[in-house]
Amino acid sequence: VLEIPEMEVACLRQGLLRYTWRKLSARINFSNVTSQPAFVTAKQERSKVPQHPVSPSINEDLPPKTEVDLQLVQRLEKLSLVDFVNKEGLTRLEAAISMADQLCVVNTEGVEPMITVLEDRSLPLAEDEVHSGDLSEELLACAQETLEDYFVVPPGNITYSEEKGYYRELDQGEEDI
Amino acid sequence: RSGRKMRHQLRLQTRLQNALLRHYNINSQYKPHLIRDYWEPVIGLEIHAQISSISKLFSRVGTRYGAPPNTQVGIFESAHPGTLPVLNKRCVEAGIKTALAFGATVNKISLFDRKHYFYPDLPAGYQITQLDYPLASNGRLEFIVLNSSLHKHPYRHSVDLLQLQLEEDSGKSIHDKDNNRVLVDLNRAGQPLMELVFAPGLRNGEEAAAMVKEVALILTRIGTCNGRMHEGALRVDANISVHRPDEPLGTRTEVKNLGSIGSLLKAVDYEIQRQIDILESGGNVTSETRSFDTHTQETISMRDKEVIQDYRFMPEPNLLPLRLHDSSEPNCQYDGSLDISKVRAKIPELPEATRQKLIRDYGLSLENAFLLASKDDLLDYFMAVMSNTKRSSKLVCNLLLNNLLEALNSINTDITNSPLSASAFGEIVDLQQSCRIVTNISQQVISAICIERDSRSPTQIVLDNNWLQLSNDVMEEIVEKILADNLELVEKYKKSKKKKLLNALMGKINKASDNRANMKIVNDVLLKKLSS
Repeated sequence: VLEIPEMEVACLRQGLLRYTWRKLSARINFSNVTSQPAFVTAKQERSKVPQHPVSPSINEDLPPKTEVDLQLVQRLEKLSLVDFVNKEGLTRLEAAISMADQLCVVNTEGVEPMITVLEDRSLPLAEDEVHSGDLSEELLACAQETLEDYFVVPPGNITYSEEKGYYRELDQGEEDI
Repeated sequence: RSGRKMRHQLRLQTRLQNALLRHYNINSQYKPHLIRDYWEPVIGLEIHAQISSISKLFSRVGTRYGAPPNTQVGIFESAHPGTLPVLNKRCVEAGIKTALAFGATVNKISLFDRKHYFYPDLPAGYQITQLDYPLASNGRLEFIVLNSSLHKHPYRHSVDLLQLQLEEDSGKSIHDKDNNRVLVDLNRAGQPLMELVFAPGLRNGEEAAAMVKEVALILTRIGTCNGRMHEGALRVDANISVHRPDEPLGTRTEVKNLGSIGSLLKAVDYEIQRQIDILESGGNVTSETRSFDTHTQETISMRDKEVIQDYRFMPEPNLLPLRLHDSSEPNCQYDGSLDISKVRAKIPELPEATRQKLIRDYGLSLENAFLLASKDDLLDYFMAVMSNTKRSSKLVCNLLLNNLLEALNSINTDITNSPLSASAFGEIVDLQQSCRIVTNISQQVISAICIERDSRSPTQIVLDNNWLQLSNDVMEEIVEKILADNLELVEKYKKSKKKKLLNALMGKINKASDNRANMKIVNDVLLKKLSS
């Protein structure tokens, strides 16, 4: 049984390209090689990687399906500034939530959450020196509107004011769905 | 008559007790009175202190105050894609130093988080801060409320420091209401800040003011922040609520961005009063963010009836855990980016220790100790003068804090650029202490050297102007002469014993003696002669 970790597959893939085709052909079982060389089989052994796409289903208890109501949608729009209040957007949101619900099945008791793969290294610190100078010309050139070296932006916070008409339409739209 | 004597004695007794309390018993804890005997205010402060470093927290761009707009902005602060943060070593050292100065535990591992909200002066849409694993936690700040209007004596109070974290600042927005636009300057974006979160242990505005003054003093002394509130280097947010002592804490409001001690004082007291008025009229205090209007001296609501902001905190994926080690500990693994004990060795004497030393070794009063400890250059001057141990600290303090500072103020100079050097000042002190000149003359010599820029030595000035204190014989002669010249005044005084008349005589004697007579001795002599 050959267990090949992901990194080694990548190395093997690179090594593969350097190998001459002839030497290779003697070793590889062609019937298993697809157009995407995602795996290597050697000596007729079967790989653990599935041959065809698999969509498993979890039979254990999942949390109840989250109801996405209008208030939640409004709040999410305000926080993310993403416009997704349409049929497709809502379906996608619900699908994403139920996909993430599957994680609840995993038992994480006593396991510290991982924040970075480099968690055993410590943060490198830089000396307190100034390395770059005045970049104001290039920076201000990126802006749509400037005034005397200041960036000009519209007043107030970028929030969605509650335009009643807009959301009334949405409510009607929701009933049609 | 005996009643009057008893009352007089009682008054003297309490005055003596109060004097003793002031000097020796400032350790007494004091609980301020409840407002209208009913409400107890609860105040917690969050202080943002800008670390005085040469470059910003996560990028190597300058931090100089007052630079032209958008000239100190790099590609990281302006949130250009593909840029990554690199933590500034000096900022971490400053954070550790501050934590140790407050007696806090420096956490060996701390993590950075992102706090998301949308605003034009926050280019990335998030601020990198520390939420759950800050740089340090569990410290304590002890301070003295010096001039309390509620309590007659200075008293001690202390507040816990809940956590100290490193975070980056946002840019500055200038609201141009006339043209309906906002101007953004990103110079301040990315500047390193230390957020000091204190427990809600304050009870009124003057405690808050005293606390912030002490924090600014400590930070200036250890050199991590320059403490200039008017430049925005130190910003205070106050969380204020009121409740009855036996009930749970009330709803709190947050007053943001108080830019001076004066506005802190007024904002806190105003907000306490406003909340009490609401509660007493049967209403409820809404949890909101307010700002302080310096013109109307009132707190005003910034956002009304808003749902509590959700900052969607998430760990900063581009920054590894900040690891620190302490080589003074027995099992140190030396696996961190910085050594805590090296930073500990660099901490200078803290202001409270200096004050205690001044009171203990030089016998200064608490107020004078406060004044001297609050300014390094003043303290250095004092110590230079006191290097001659025979000089009386009380006299030095009087001449220094009253006379010299006043003279320097009038010529708009500070003590470091004083025309009167510490040694020349010491000369004046010696002259007065040995009774060769009187206080008035000392004042005149100080003025001569500071204001008129007289370059002669003090002794020379005194001798040239013939300002030496009059001997007792000459002084008695003058007194006799004045008494002889003003017979009617003398008669009036002998009849009515009014202080005003005595002072008139004293004035004439002073003038006749060219300010050279020691007025205390003159007073005694005069009274003796008049009573005979």
